[in-house]
Amino acid sequence: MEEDDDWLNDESGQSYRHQGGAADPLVDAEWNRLATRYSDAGYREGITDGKLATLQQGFDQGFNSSVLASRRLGQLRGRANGLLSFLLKTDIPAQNGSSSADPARVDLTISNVREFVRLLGNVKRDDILPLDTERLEHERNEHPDQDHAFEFERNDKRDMEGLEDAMRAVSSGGDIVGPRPETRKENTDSARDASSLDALERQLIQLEAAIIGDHQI
Amino acid sequence: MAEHASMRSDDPFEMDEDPLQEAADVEARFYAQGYDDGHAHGRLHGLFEGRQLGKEKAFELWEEVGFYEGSAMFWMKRLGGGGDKSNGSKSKEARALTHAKTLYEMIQGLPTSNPSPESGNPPSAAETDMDASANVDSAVTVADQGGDFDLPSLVSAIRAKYRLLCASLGIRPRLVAGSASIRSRSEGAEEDPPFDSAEMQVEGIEGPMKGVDTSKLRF
Repeated sequence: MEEDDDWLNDESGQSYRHQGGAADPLVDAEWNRLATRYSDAGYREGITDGKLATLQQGFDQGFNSSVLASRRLGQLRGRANGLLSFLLKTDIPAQNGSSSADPARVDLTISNVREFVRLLGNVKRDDILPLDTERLEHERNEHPDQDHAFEFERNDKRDMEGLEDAMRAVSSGGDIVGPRPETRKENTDSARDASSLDALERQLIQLEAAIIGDHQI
Repeated sequence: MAEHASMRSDDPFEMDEDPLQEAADVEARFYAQGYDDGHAHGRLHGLFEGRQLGKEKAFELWEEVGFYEGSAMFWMKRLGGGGDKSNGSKSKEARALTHAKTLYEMIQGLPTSNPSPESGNPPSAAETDMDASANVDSAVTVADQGGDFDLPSLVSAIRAKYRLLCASLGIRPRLVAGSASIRSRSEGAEEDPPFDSAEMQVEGIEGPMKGVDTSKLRF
């Protein structure tokens, strides 16, 4: 009986009062749906445009802050490599004539320099370049559950670096599946201390002094 | 996207005149709100990703150039000291010393900051309407056109001078192939295309090294 009543009749049913009104749950759902849909679309566009707006600025900052340390590491490698080449190409016994030409000692020196060259070769980019603390903070605060909040286009070099990191973790008794980001950061900090460029340079100067001093020609 | 941002600043009095306007603009308001939030977040990510790319690029370039500089420094120090060289090797070493000095000077002339002409200037409003790839392409073009000097050719000349120094000393040059993979990257790669030819040239000279990062082998 009631179902046949005119739906406009105020007295007949509750639906009239609720449908489309403030108390209608469908209105809220629709509102939320609209809000989510359009906000998400806007967010996607906004994040892309925002990225493009500051990418170049960030590139320049990163570039300028990294030149000094990169150049210094390169210099050390170049000097060490020069030292090794010098040792290998120099016929030391013939040049020095007699007394100081101790083949065993020369071999020892060469292996010392080789070891030093290998040490320098193990220094990775992230060991010497300044950390982006703002980014680390942002990752911690905004993306705590993501291992890689920043997706970079894959290329051979990055794949190789990832592989090297994994190998380093394995060889140092680390986790086989790869270090968690937190662990990685700690490792990076300790490696930064251990492989400080100052310490390496001091070592190189000592080697240079020992070898060039020995074989002054 | 500028129009979306402007929708937020609707005059409240206009709203009063047309009460339905607010309801009609509701999608645009949501969109603009989302866009602004996304833009703020995107600016941070752009900065962070840009820094990372800049670090990679600077390391790639300056580790290599630094290596040449270090080699030049070593041989200048080593050969510049004079000493009791025999006459035969003297002229050879003098030539090597000249190469080392020239190499060192060339490197001192290399700019140590990114030669981007639009440093610190975000892309214009017109650019923001393009899609991502178009935008990056345009940035690369602008950077290519605006440079006061030709960085890739300077680097190529430095590489050539280094190889000359090695040849004159009779030592093996360091192989440069590690940066060949940058060919596949598009972001922030101002100097990439001309680099390719240099890398190819090195590959041709040093022999086959496909798939192997030979710079890693040496160190």
